[in-house]
Amino acid sequence: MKKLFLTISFLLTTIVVSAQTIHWITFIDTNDRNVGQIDVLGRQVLYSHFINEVNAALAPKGYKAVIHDFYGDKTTPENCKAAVELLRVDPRDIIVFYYIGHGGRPNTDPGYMAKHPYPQMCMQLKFPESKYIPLEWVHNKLSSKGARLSVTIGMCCNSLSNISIKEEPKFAPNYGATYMSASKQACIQDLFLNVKGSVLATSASPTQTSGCFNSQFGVIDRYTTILCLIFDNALDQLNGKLSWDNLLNEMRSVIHEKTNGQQTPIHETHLTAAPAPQPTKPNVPSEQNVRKTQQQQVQQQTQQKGLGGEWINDLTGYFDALISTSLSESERIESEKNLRSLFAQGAQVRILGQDSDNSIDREDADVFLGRLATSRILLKVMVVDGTFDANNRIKSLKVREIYKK
Amino acid sequence: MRINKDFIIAIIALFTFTSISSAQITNQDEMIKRRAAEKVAQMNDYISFMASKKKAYKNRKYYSEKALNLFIGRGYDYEENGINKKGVMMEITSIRKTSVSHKLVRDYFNNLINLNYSDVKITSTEIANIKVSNLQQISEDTYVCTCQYDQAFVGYRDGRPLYKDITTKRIKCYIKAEDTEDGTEYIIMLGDITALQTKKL
Repeated sequence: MKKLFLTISFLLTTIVVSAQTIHWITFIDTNDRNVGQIDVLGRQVLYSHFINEVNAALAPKGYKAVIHDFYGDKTTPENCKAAVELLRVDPRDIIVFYYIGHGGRPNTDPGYMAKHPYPQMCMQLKFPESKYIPLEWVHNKLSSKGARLSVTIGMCCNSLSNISIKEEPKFAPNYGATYMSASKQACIQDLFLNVKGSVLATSASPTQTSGCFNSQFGVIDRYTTILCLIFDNALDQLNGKLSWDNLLNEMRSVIHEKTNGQQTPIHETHLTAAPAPQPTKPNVPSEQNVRKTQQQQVQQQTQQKGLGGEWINDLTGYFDALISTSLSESERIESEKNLRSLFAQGAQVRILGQDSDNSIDREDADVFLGRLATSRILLKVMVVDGTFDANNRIKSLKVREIYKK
Repeated sequence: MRINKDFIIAIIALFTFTSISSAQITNQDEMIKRRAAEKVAQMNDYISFMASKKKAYKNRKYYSEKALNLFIGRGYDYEENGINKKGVMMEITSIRKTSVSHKLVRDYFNNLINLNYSDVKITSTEIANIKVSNLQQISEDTYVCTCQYDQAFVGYRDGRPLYKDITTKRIKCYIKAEDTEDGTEYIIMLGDITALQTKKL
């Protein structure tokens, strides 16, 4: 009970955020003894090839990314219910919910099945059946929040009983996707900013399982792979235009064809065309804001590592401002000076490969901040992890970077 | 807008031929080469900024300081093969001169800020098209590669282009490998820049 209270308190503090935000809620079952390792890779690929790219494309339009990343022990029905129910949004916001894990559906008559074709999420398979959460419930809750767009995607089986057995994982990283063309950026902006309404999608039709295969990323679910491959390879060819129906129809046809009809994703869209919101200036890391973040570093100190949702989101938001060409050069240089106070003397920043936890470059923090404050070719810098020294200042930081092509 | 059918076929092929794809891309060198290209693109962006008279002089000076951080020795003294060097060198060419001159990169940046034109536009090969050579190990912990790119220069006087050229340039990149508790880590730094060919634009 105490744990639940703490979780809800954490969610309450983290979910109230400022306007013009894309909220990501991802629940990924990385603990399961059969599919956990596959979904560890699924989470990594989803973030590198879809979430980070969308965030990079929307950042120039003033969209701040707030990530609620639930995996491992945090993938619980209670957390899912709380994350969905407690989310607060602004009318200009976008919500994306993505689930990777076990799923199933009740054995019902065809009429019910036709009316409710989407699965229930069976998180970690260790909770009682009563705690399975219908994907439609998530969709209905999120789409009624009043955000301009809500997207609900479930990558799970939709079968009556059997959960598919998946192969052993094999990690094979892809080093791509550090550059984004203007055309791809326009495509993603079109997909997320030029419509209002809701999208509900899942990886299999009623009674079907969702399979995995040995892709270029390693063994991973087909649905997430195809989504990420389209993002990696097809968007440059589309002249800045992409609709949810086209995207999801193509995913359906590829997966249906390759599995000989064994797996056919389904979706529904309730969208109307809408002008994109006016770009807003990113939040400049003022001395006051930076002091607030420094206090969070004190709280994070007890955890050794800085893996905290709000701290990572704040710091990523500051880096959005630091690299933003919509701010004046002087504003960016001023922000750089404010942010220095978060870092310890001699702090190091490691730049990670897109699909790898290996560092491919290392810089002193002052060099890193100076580069961000003066670069005009960076599109997004995502904070991955960090550690603090005894004075609660950042001692080391790991980030990923996306550049304009 | 529909997604290209050829692409769909390519995706389907990926289901079948994934092992080939995996073999082609599981290479740490590729990531490091990309990072080297990113650093070169960043240097070129700084050069474009420093040369532009539309930007405040104070900021152009500030950017030149930041640009030096990209280089080995941060633009100042460094050692290579036991030889002390005063700093990274930039080779300078012109279609009006047959001779080639060399300047320390920090002096080159200073000159760039003070060029005698009313405005200067410098554009370079975009990041994805920078050609990066394979890595070569030159000592136990150091590798090098080169990045090749084109740089177009236009100097204006009273709004009219007075001088234009395009130079193919090659820059040496140093990759220092360090064994740490978390595995091997790399530091990528830029080195000397040579001009391969200068033509009229």
